[in-house]
Amino acid sequence: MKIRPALISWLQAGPLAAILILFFGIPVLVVVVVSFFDFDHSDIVPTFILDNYQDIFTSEVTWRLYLSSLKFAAIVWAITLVLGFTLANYLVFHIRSLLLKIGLFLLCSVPFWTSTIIRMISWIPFLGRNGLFNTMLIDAHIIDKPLDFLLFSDFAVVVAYVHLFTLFMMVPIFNSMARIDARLIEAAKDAGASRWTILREIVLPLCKSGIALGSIFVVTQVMGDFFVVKVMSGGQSASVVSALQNEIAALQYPPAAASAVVLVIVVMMMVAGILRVVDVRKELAS
Amino acid sequence: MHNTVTAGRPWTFHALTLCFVVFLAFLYGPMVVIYVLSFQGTEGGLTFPLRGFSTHWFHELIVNGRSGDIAGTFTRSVELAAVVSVLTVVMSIAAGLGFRRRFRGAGFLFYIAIASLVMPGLFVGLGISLVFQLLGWQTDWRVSGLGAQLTWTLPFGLLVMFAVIGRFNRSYEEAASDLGATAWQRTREVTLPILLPGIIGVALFGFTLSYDEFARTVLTAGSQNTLPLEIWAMTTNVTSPALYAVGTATTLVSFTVIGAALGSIALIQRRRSRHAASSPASVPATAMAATDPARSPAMTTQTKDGSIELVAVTKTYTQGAPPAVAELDLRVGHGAYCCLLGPSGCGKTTILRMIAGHEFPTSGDVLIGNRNVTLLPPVERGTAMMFQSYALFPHRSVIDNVAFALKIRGIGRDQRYATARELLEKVRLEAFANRLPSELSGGQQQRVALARALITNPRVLLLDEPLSALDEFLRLRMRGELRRIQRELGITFVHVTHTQLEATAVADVVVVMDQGRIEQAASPREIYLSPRNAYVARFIGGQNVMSGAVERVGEGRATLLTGTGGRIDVPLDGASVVPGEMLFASLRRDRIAVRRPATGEGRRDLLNSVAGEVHTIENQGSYVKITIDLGDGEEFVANVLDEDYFIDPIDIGDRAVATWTAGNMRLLDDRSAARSTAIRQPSAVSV
Repeated sequence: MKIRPALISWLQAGPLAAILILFFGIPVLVVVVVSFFDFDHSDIVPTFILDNYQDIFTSEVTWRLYLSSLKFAAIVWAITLVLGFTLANYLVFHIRSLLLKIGLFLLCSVPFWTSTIIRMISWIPFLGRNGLFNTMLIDAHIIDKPLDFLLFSDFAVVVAYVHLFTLFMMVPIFNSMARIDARLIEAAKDAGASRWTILREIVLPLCKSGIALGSIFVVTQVMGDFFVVKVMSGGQSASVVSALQNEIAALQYPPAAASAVVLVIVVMMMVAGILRVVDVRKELAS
Repeated sequence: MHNTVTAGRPWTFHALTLCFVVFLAFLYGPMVVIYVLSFQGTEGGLTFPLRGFSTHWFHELIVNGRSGDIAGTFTRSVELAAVVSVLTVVMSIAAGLGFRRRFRGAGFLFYIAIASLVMPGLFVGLGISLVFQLLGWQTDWRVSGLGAQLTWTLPFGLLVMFAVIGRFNRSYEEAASDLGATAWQRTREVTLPILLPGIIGVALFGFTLSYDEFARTVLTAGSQNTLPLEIWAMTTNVTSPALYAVGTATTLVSFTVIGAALGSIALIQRRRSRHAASSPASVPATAMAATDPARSPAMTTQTKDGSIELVAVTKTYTQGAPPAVAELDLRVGHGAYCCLLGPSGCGKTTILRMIAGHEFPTSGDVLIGNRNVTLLPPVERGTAMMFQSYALFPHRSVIDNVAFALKIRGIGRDQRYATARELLEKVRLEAFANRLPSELSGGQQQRVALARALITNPRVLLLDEPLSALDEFLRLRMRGELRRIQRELGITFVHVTHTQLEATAVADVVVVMDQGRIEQAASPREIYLSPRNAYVARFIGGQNVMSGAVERVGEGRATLLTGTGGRIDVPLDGASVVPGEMLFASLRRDRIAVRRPATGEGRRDLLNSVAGEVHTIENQGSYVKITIDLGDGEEFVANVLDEDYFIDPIDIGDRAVATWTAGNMRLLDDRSAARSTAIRQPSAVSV
């Protein structure tokens, strides 16, 4: 008896599909359903109301939170893009020895393997009022009194984000850059293109899919963050998800579900926007 | 002379290096600070330099458990990460392999996976915890926590497997099944070993992603914390050296895991090359002597008749599209060297793959040795295939590649190495037995592929463009070598090529194909002497195709009036034609004389001659190729012996007259269609 090939494929993909449907598909649907429920004290009341959404859209806080999250996403995206592109460009096109290339790449990715929270926390003794950075500046007589904006501020939040997420941008760009045929660069040089022109006309268009993938990672990470903002701003700033977490902590599930749904729609629209500009499926397929 | 190579890097290089170093400082600086601070004296505080050195905080943490249940949460997290890692590897490999075929819902599943990957972690956690709450179940790190983490590691593993499998050459698997491997043996011996680096990558990512994950677990871990959650709880006091000690300890653990993983990859690589280097060196002389009897049990006991017959074979890849092969009949006798010749996309490779069993006909039958094998798997056909890119298993030494089929058949090591050695001698590669394929040149790889295909003692050898990856010099040498080996073995060879010279040089039978049909199948000499139609004449080369309307019929020949007003005689060989009919004929290029026009000779052509301006001249050594522009769009070429040409060399731009005798004209089959303008141009340029 011959088994149909499509059936084999289904058996092979089946376990993964089952897990994703059980722990992702169904929960997402449940959140959407619960977002229309009512609640009293700590109980969920199954009914159909739009109040949760009405509260979100009429509340000034929502708009402030989104504005703040989008602002962080934009700043961090721009910085990680420039950093990630520059670093990948350096590693791929300027380091000639393959061994050194791999070594330096690993060096960049090692922190990724350590605890995210610890990496974030590690900025505190460095940036604090009596931290290493201020101490060094004072000892060098550059400033008289410690800089206050360094820690527990938007600045600190951005620094921590960049520290955590640059790698997410760098790796996909590195991947697509490494796939560029070196002869293309030589051909461009032969045609008289300058370094800068080559970068703009050849390298940049050919890493578009890498940039898009990296952007998706960075933007979704920042939009989904609730701990960096909380710790690094010292409670002064909030993000959409940290507000969501507060609602969950207060056991207000239906409003939390509603704001989660709104957030996901916003994030998915951002992702779809990136995918509209660049088709990353080619990148994933190859 | 200055050596410009060492003249130094441009300033941009130094600027970028500086950027890179600054980035590394940015990346590592703060982390190093907390590692140092975790050894702060018992008073604590963020002071530089340290007030004394102590392991107090580590002691508190691990032994006394003062700052929370670090030891317990650590164990829990490692257990969880291990399970997540194993499940991720198994499920994403399986799914990655499954995704290679198209199946219903594949696209949907892919988008679910991507959505799951980019979804904010807390959202997923919220969903799962709500489901559990509505069902009245308790969340638990072993169930809901595990599931939550898998929604993040599985898509990740799937993407990595896509990348790895995408670069995996499918012909490795086809080669393995050709050599007799079952689906499971194929997966174990070829697919998984080649995918191994990617698999280790997925395992490593799965472990570290899970070990550090907390956005998804914060709502789903239940009453017992994982390590990241415990650390998260400790961030209420962000200046505590205890927190930094946790950081140092967990970092050490992470580095140990990465180190172990990288080390194991390096070890596997080393063992592979060492294995390759050491394995066959010690083949005992007795095993060599026992070679020939050793070969026979390996072989299937089929008849040795290697004749091939295709009966009305049609292959359609996409419904509605024109078939790749249409209603094709072909018979190749046992022991013949057959070349399938045609431009790319003409269906020749499809035919080869259907004979091999890597492709099944949509309709029609394939017979080998008078036995219907249409639906049999490759290994039961007695065929062997040499792949275009050779498909040598990159992780096995040359001798292991050659001996692969015997290993699959359960032949002992000494015996199979002895047989493999014998074949390597036949292709003169015995000195390279221990190398890996990547350490060989293209020509050597090709000979290994040949030896590997021949070890099963096939009755038919199928060669898919076997010479296309070689340079000109090797190509010429290897095609002679192929012919010699075929003669020596006395088995059937089917060789796919798009080069006319290659086909005519080696084959007994040349099958000229176009658009899924056979245009002519005959010996190279017959095809050259009397091509059947204009397509064959153009493709096989060495011919001018001429056409004209019949003006007069008589004495067994027709006189045609060409488009440029010339007259040519064509022998009819018994064909009946009527005046006014459009005829096509071919003329051998080496049977044409070229001279300058005599003074007073007008533009009007004489019978069996044409006149025009010389367009190009190419010296080919023993002859000179002269292209004359007749003004009718068809290329007219005369190949003139060098000694004739150099008596009075004509130059480009000169006027010339070409003449021949009528007996060198061959009537072509194209007349019925009267497609004077619709003749398909072969894509290959004729010589």
